[in-house]
Amino acid sequence: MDSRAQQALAAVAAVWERSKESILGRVALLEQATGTLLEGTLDDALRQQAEQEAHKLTGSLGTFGFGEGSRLAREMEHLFRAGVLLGQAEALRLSELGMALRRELERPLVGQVPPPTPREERPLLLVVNTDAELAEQLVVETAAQGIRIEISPTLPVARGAIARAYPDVVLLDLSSPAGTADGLTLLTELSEQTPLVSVLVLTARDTFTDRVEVARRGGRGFLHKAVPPAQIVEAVVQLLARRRAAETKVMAVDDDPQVLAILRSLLESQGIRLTPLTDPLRFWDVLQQESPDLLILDVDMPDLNGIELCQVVRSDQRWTEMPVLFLTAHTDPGTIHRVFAVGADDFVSKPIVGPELITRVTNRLERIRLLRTLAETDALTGVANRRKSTQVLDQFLGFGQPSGTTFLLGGAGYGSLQTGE
Amino acid sequence: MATAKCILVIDDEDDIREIAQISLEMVANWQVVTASSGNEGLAKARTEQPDAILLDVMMPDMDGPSTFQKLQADVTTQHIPVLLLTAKVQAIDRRRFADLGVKGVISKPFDPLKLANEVAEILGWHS
Repeated sequence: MDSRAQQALAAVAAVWERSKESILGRVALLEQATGTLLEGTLDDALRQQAEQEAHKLTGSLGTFGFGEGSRLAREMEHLFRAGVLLGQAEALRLSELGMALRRELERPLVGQVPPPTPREERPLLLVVNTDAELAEQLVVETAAQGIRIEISPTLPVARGAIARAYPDVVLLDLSSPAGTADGLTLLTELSEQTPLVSVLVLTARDTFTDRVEVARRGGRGFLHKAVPPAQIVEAVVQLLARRRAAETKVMAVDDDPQVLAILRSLLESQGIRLTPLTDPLRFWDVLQQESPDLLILDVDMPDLNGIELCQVVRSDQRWTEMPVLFLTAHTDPGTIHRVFAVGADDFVSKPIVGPELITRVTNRLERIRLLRTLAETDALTGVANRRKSTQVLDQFLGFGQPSGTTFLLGGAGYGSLQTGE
Repeated sequence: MATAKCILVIDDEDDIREIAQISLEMVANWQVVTASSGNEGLAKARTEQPDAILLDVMMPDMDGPSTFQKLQADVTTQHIPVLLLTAKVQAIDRRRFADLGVKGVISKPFDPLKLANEVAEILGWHS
């Protein structure tokens, strides 16, 4: 770390010492609001004030180096936002968060920005239900599958957990006391969220109307409450697998980890999964393993440069159509010519300008999707062709398997079809 | 030698303004002017003519989006690129910000050692 950065951090630490009292005052207000909530006397004015103070803490604590503090404050903000839905479960959760927040702020600030929390690679399942016995069983079943699990007894607690932890799958029990209507509202919210959160619905009701309603609101699975926990977890595993298969995947090769971190942040904000690679010598193995939809290559790298990697890709029949985008600090005509001569589709200059990169990547991906659609659609009827239909049928059969659902396939025949003149 | 950039930071929170100033001045050697409200920010934008504005979203009286609209409505300030500073992460908020026409959004909490780099990347200011 250079001396300017060290001086900056020392100055930030000095600001913390001056600001600490007012920040702890905000925490005290959150504790006061939590206390009155536990007593059942929280009024709306104090609730709104607590929500605003939690929002301010979310935005400032991480800047001082208390990243965990920002995350805790964010969850508290979401809980206070619940308004009339705040009950004892939320009050207890707020109490836990408040204590954790105070402990976090009492640790000494050592004048150094802590490294970002390493990303947890195991998928996260958030269970929204009040059935403690089921929850216990799910904890056991998910551990065996390498899936992390969190339990939220109410919808407001779940909203806070979603804002903090970004689960991959939510198991939403619509038969819990919160009621079906609020649960369906959460389902709609999650289906519009970025990054994507897949929702499996668990319910004691099982009519066709219920299934249609869940599907309309973006639910990815429908399970009856009587299904054994093992089958619920199997459905989660299958959903995760389908999700991975459907996700847009980009692979980026750059020997600078900071560039890869920026790319990850930009692309994942668009719901695009990034596989980063700093060592070009591992390129071929990772390429075959991940089978990305688009490649981003740095030009200058030790051992193997991006130009050489692009030549290798273009010489293999499997990857001749793969979109390749170069990242380079060199914008001289010679480099640009070399890049396009080996078959690149585009290049983006370094330092990366976020909106420009996202536009270039999404345009290329959109073009690939269009080409795939044309390859999977019957030209005469506009419906899925045989290959695509078989693929989709397999997915539906897998969807119903865990719950033993009967799958009914209807068919319609058509006479000789001709193109119109 | 290139002239140092001048950034106007508009945020109602004292510690955020102070840390942003420390960060941009010490790490990037930029010149920083601050304002604690939308109205003060409008006045300073006219007089200081900064190279860019960092604008907090949640402010009492006049919030960030309203301040941005007034900056756009003024011929003396409409050319200045604006980046929003916000702790809001929901997609619906981000879409609303994108529709406004700002140059970019910087998430709070920000890393004081990386703030200048983020600003430069969004605005295409090559070193």
